[in-house]
Parts: sequence; C-alpha cells; structure tokens
Amino acid sequence: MSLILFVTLPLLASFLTPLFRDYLKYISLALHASLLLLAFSFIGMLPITETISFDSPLSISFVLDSASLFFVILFISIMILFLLYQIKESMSREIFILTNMLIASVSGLVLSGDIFNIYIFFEIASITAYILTSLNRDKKAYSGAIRYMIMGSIASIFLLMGIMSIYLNIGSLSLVTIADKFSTIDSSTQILILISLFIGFGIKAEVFPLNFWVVDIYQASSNRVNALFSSILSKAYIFLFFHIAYMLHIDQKLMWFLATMGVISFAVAELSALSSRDTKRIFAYSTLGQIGVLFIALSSGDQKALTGAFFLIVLHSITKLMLFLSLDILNTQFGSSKIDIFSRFRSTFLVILFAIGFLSLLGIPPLGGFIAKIAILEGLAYIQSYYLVGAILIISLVEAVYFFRLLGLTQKDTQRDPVVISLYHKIILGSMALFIVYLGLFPESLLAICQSVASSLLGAGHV
Amino acid sequence: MSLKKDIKLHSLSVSLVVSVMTILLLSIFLNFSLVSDSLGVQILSLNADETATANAVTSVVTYFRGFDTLGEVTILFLSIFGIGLGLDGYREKLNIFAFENQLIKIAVDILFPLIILFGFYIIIHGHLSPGGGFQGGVVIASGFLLMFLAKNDDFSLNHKIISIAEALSGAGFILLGLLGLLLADRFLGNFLPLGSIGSLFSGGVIPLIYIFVGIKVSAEITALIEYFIRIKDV
Amino acid sequence: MFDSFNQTPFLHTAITIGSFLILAIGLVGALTKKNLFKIFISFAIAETALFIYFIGMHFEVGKVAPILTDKVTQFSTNMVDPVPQAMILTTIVIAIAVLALSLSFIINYFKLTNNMEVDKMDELGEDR
Repeated sequence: MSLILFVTLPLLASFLTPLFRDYLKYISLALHASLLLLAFSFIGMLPITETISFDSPLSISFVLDSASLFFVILFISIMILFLLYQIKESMSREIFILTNMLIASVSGLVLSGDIFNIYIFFEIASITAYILTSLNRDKKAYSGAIRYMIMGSIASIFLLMGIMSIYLNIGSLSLVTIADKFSTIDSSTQILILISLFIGFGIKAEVFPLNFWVVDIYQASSNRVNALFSSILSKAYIFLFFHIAYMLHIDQKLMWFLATMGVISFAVAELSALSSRDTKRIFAYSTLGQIGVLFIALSSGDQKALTGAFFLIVLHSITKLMLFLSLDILNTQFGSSKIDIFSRFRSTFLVILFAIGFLSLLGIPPLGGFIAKIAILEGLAYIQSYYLVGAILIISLVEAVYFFRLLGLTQKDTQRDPVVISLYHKIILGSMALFIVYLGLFPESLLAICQSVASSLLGAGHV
Repeated sequence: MSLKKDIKLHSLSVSLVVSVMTILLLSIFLNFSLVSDSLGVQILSLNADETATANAVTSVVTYFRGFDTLGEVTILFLSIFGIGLGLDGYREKLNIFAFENQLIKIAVDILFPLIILFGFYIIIHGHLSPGGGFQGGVVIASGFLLMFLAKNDDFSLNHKIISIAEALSGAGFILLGLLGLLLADRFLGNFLPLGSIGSLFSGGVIPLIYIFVGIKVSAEITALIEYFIRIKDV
Repeated sequence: MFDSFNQTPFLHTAITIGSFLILAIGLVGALTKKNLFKIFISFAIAETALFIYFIGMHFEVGKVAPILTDKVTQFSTNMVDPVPQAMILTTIVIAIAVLALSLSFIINYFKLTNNMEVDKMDELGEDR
C-alpha cells in the first residue's frame, strides 16, 4: 500500500464529483474510513520513504515516520468526526470537494519530503481555506476571504523567495539534502532563507507578530468551518513550521526567539479575549493563545515538553471541534454571536459541554488538558526556563477569568429559551466530551505515543 | 487634510522599509554564483535514457516532478470551482462587453478551428518542442475568448461537456499515476514503451500526462473566461 | 561594443537589480494602495519579479535551451537547468489561479457592499 494514496484518493474523489450524484456523504465517509484503516496498517512499519516516479533524490519523496503518521491519523479522525456530525444533513458538492481537498493537502503537507512539493500543498490548503471562508456568501464572508487572501499572498511571496534562495544555493529540493547542506551556505544567505521561511510559514502558523488578521477570519466564516480551521489546518501548519525548523538545525538563540514569540502570542491573545464581546472571536483568541503555548513547548527542544505539546495538540483539536460545533448550535438558534447568548439559553447538556471544554483548555484536573499542561511545564522546568513556566501560569489566569465569566453567564438568572439539539448530535458531542475526560483519567497510552512522536521530531534532522 | 498626511506618512514609511529590505537583499544576492551539480544537471544527464523525450523541461514537469503538476492541476480546478460557487445564475446574465466588429465576425469562423487545432498541436508535441499541456490549453481557451468577443451573447458554453472533460481528464491523470504504481512500482512510473527520441510516439506516459493536463486546463480556463464575462445583470 | 554587455556577471547583476526593483515596487503597491484591485495586481507584479529573477539567474551566456533540435542533438551540461523552468511553470499557474479567485471575491464583495477600498472594509471587528 502506498503513501500517496492519502493524497491521491481524496483528489480522485473530488475530481469525480459530478459522477457521484446523491451519494456524496456516504462516499466521503467510506473514503475517510478506508484512509484511516490504511493509516493504521502502517503502524508497525515505520519509517517508510516512498519516491514518486523516479529514484530519490532526483524525484519527490514521501516520508512516513511517527510524527507524520500521528498527524495523518489525527487529521483523518477529526474529519471523520466532523462528517459524522453532519450525516443527517445532505452534503453539498462544495463541502464534499473542500473536505477532500483539505485532507489531501494536509496529508501532503506532513508527509512530503520535498520543499517545492510542500509549497504546492501549502497553496492547495490555502485556496481550500479561502473558499471555505467565503462559503456563507455574505458581506462578512467575502470581506474575511479577501483579507485572508491578502495575507496568504504575502506568505506565498516570502515562501517563494525562501525556496528560490534554497535552490540557488543548494541545488536540490529534497528536504534531506537541504538539511545536510544547509550549514555550508554562507551565513547571511542562511539568515535570509530563515527569515523568508519564518514569514512564509509563520503567517499560516499564526504566531505573533503575524497573526493580527486571524480573528477576523474566524468571525467571517461559519462555525463549522472554524472547527475545521482550528482543529486541522492550524495544527498542520504548526507541525510544518517546526518540522522544517528541526530539520534545518536551528540554533538555540532562534529557538529562544520562537519561544518568546510564543509567550507574546499567548499573552496578547488571552488579553484580547478578555476584552472581547463576541463569542466567535473569543474562541478564536483562545485558539491563538493555545498556538502560543504550542510554540513555547515545541521550541524548547526538550523531550517532555514536546510530548506535552503533542498531547495538547490532540486534546485541543477535539476540544475546539466540540466547542465550535456547540457554538454553531447556539448561533443558529439565536442568530447572533454576541456574548449575551450565553445568558439566553437553557440546556444542561450544552453547559456541561462548555464546562468540560473550557476546563480542559485551562488545564484543570481531571481533564485531559491538565496532563498536557503538566507535561509542558515539567519539560520547561527541566531545561530551567523558569520564566516560561511562570509566563504560562500567569497568562492562564487571564484565560481562567474569561472562561469562568462565560460559564457564569450560563448560570445567571435571566429569561432563558430551551435549546433543541437532536439526540444524534448529543451522542456525537457527548462522546467527544467523554473522550476528553477519558484522556485526563487514563493518559498513559496517548502519552507513550506522543513520546515517540517527540523523539521522531527531535531526531528529524539527524536521519 | 490630515487624512492625506496620514496616508502619505504610511506610504512613505512602507516605501522606506521596503527599500531598506531591497538594499539588504541586493547586497546578499549580488555576489553570487550558481551551484554546479544541481538537480537539473543530474536530470539532464539521465534524461535521454530514462525518458526519451527531446524536451527536458517537459520531462521534468510531467515525470520527475509530476506530482507537482498534479497539485497544480488541482489548484486550478479548486480555484475555478471556487469562482463558480460565488456566481449564481450566470446563465441569465449578459456579457459585460458587446463588440460589433464585422472583421472579427467574419474572421472567427475561419480562425477558431485553426486556433483549436494549433492548441492541440502544442499539447501533443509537448515532449518534442517547447510547449505542452498548459501552453496548449491556454491557446485553446484564447480561441474560445475570440468566439466570445465575436459572437457576444449568442455564444455560450455547454457546461455539461466542460465538467465532464474536467472530471475525466483529472481522473485520467490520477489513474495513470496509479497504474504506474501497480505496474512500475512507483506513482507515475513509466510503464509504456519509451520509443525513440524525436518521434511522436515516444516518452512513455509523458505525452499522455500532458494530453490530460491540456484538456483539463483548456476546459477550466474557458470556463473561467465565461465566468468573468457573463456578469452584467439583465 | 555590445560584447562587453554579453557577459554572464553583467547579465546576472542587471537581472538581480532589475527584478528586486520590481519586487520592491510590487510590495510597496501591495502594502500601501487602497483599491482592492491595485493590491492584488501589485502582488502579481511582485511574483513576476521573483519569476524573472529565478529564471534569469540560471542563464549563463553561451548556454542553450534544454531541448533537442537539429543543431543540438545531445543533452549536455551546456544546457540551461530545466528544473527552475518547471518550477516557475507550476508557480505561474498557481499565481493565476489565486489571482482569479481573488478577483472573483472582489467582484462579489463589490456587488454586496459597493466598496472597493481596503480601509473602508469594516464588516469585521469587535462590534459587528
């Protein structure tokens, strides 16, 4: 079985959409389920390198190691959950094509071992994201899509500049060769390449100071699209950023720079969430804050912190999927996304869901987020970055303030309308919440997996 | 008055930053020499034996980096699809311009078939001379643009044919690659006989790939042209 | 007289300076212009500058195109590198696709709001 099936089967399904008529949602679920089975079948066989059309390094290669397999399984599982949530509604052509393209492009991003190929998948994912943002077709959607495209074009230009400099100076596009020969280029060109790649990948990975536009995009798209952005797309770009960073053997000072940017991202995001009155924007700021924490953890270079980071990635994806889908229920019922909708609904089920989601993001035991945060803080303390530990703890207090404010609004004594949620949706959302609790109580197996992922990422440049 | 000053200040500061950046870039790039054993040089030395195509750029585009071409075709497909989503009911709209030029009206009946033929020639001979799927596809699309300019609102495309052409050529490309996976053990592996350099039937799968790409690109850019022309409300 | 211009270092210098000037013009345009069309066309200009730079830098005086003809009957190192040309082919198509999509978004946005200025786009923000 081949690695490229993760990319080509969804593409094939998208191309053949006119032939599928009314069976779109079944074909989509069957396709993703079979891809998940294919991913599981690779588990004992790592690492695998597969070249396309000719021998490496003259041709493009796809590399499967623990980290990429972890992410492929994560992305396909989240997509299956997302599709299962919508199974009672009829699937439109655009959702079918766009979800397939999303899975194809993020799989390509994490699997590909060739930098120009990564650029191609980067562009496919960007265009998918632009179209997803504009799906509502109203003023906000197009305004957000246009802004997204402006930022995306800037990222493209800088990324192209970086790739061109790499080819001009090294003469190869394969990541392994680039990693080997990167240190032989003269240092001013090295700095140029690193800055271009930082701007190019960093705009999409949403790190400070390149993330001022993100929250508007979340406000412009529908909540289901936000769930996809938050759980799948941002994780792919973050992994890509650090995969390249570890491959190029970035030295300590630059890692400290990334960690500082992570701290500032976290701080600015949480403080902005505190003063926001729009629930979509609050959740978006929370996503940006967690991305900041991930930057701090992933740039530390410490095994334990990276383990915690990957655990946090799994938890955050499921939590944000659950939170955005619940917010979608509220938004459609009340037609508004202002913060006061939290004081207008009556549903114990939704309150429990929000409570589990918020407490997990805060890192409160016995939920999964606690395990992730503890691992990250332990790792940071191990390398004696006490100021990072302190920063995370202090800024989490800010996070606690606005999350508890939202929970408090649900308990206020006001006029409340009951929320109608179908039993099926309750089952799907409830199982996500139960999984978050389960990960908090029995984290051992996932922690072991995350540990091997962390060693694979740390050893990436040394292959 | 102060708004104009603000705008001028903003433009000035951005220009300053960009100029500084450009000067820094120039100082890095100006003393520069090419790497001598780059990827392309290695491919050139293998090209005659492995692919038997006379055009090295074609063999790089379709064979050595064929996956990038697949991604590019996907991007074009996605973007045309995204444009089509936002435009509702374009069949009831009119063209945004209307030319009444007798010269074009008479000439188009002769020129249109010639342009389409020329486009197909470029697509099919992509592995022998400069050209290929993308170039030929755009030439075919320009022929359709000529029809739009000449016949105004009387000419409209049959979108069934366009979507079938898109779907089948895209699927054909991927199926060709998967066949290569089965028969030659790599995606897009070459499993057809190579022939001799310079003849039309040479290069294995490479002309086939370019034909699929050419049909897809011509269908998509033609649809793109129509999407952008038919936007005037009745 | 023109032979002194027909040397590789001169060519490379001219291409470098020229394309970075165009890149600067494109980036300044993209970051300062208010009209949405001008912003995206400026991006197209900046990308074109990068393409010119990349292909131009791989050319050296005396080299030929990597295509076999009647006169050039063998692939040799006297040919220009074909990989950048393939990369730029792909990237040009990507740039066209993104530009077309952005223009269609601008058209749809204009139909809904009658607004073409980027600083008057105020649908998104804290109080909307």
